[in-house]
Amino acid sequence: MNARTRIVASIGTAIVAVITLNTPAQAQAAPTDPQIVGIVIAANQIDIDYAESALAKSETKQIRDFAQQMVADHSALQKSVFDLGAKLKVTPAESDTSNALKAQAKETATKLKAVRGKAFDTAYIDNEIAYHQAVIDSVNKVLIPNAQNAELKAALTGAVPLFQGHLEHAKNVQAALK
Amino acid sequence: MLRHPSSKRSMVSRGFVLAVLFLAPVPWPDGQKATAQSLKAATTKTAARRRHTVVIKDVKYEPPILTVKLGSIVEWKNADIVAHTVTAVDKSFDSRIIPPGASWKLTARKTGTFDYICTLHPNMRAKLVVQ
Repeated sequence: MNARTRIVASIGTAIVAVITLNTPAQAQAAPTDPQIVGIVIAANQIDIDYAESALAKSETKQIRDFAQQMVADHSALQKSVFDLGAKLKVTPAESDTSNALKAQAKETATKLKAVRGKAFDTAYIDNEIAYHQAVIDSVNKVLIPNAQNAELKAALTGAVPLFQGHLEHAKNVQAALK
Repeated sequence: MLRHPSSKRSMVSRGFVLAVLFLAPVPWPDGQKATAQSLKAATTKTAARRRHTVVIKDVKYEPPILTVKLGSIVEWKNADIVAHTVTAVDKSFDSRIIPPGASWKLTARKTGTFDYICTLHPNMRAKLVVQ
């Protein structure tokens, strides 16, 4: 297994474990609505941060265009999440899940910093594929089923096609780079 | 002064014509108005038939299949919170980036069935059918 594959494998496994509550700390408690909003906010910010590191580091047009789209899309989604939280009077709350996501993202960012050029481009886009797949799985399996407020549930459901679009676009970029 | 018999007849006939003109329904001015109204309605209907709108919202094109006549104008309106594109799979048309709130128009100059996608969110797929 090469370095790139190790990065991707560890990212995907860790994120899925964190968000699907398969680690001992989270195994008992399903997230509340404030915690769900906190998790979505954390997940959006993480991808914005990954994209900004790509814009700072990559010179490849497809990577830069994709990263620019991630900043734009996740920022728009972030705004809609904050607006919805304000409308529903749901204050985002931290949770073990959102904190674990942030910790995992910090580790990933460190690994991405260690590579450059084509290796960075490949690691970044591979991570985007693993990350978006993990987010889609967690939204479908954990966040939507546990959301109590109907409007929050509908908003989460509505966000899934956007994440799926990102996943497909990332796969197209990955194919183009090979 | 004695009136000439022919003058009396012509006065009667003139009176008759005037009575017909003022008392009887006069189809000619109303008919012209009716024709103008029908023409305006037909022109409006034709113009409406030849303009179509596709709304882009919630990462979807609505309607997903649109059938139009050759020469029609199709407008895609981005009512979503993120940017999208309208890009034909066969590359015959490409809106490039349509920001949220903006729109893009295409005049259908060629018949056929055109599959199109959003290059930013390739899970978005739709069809334009030009007849």
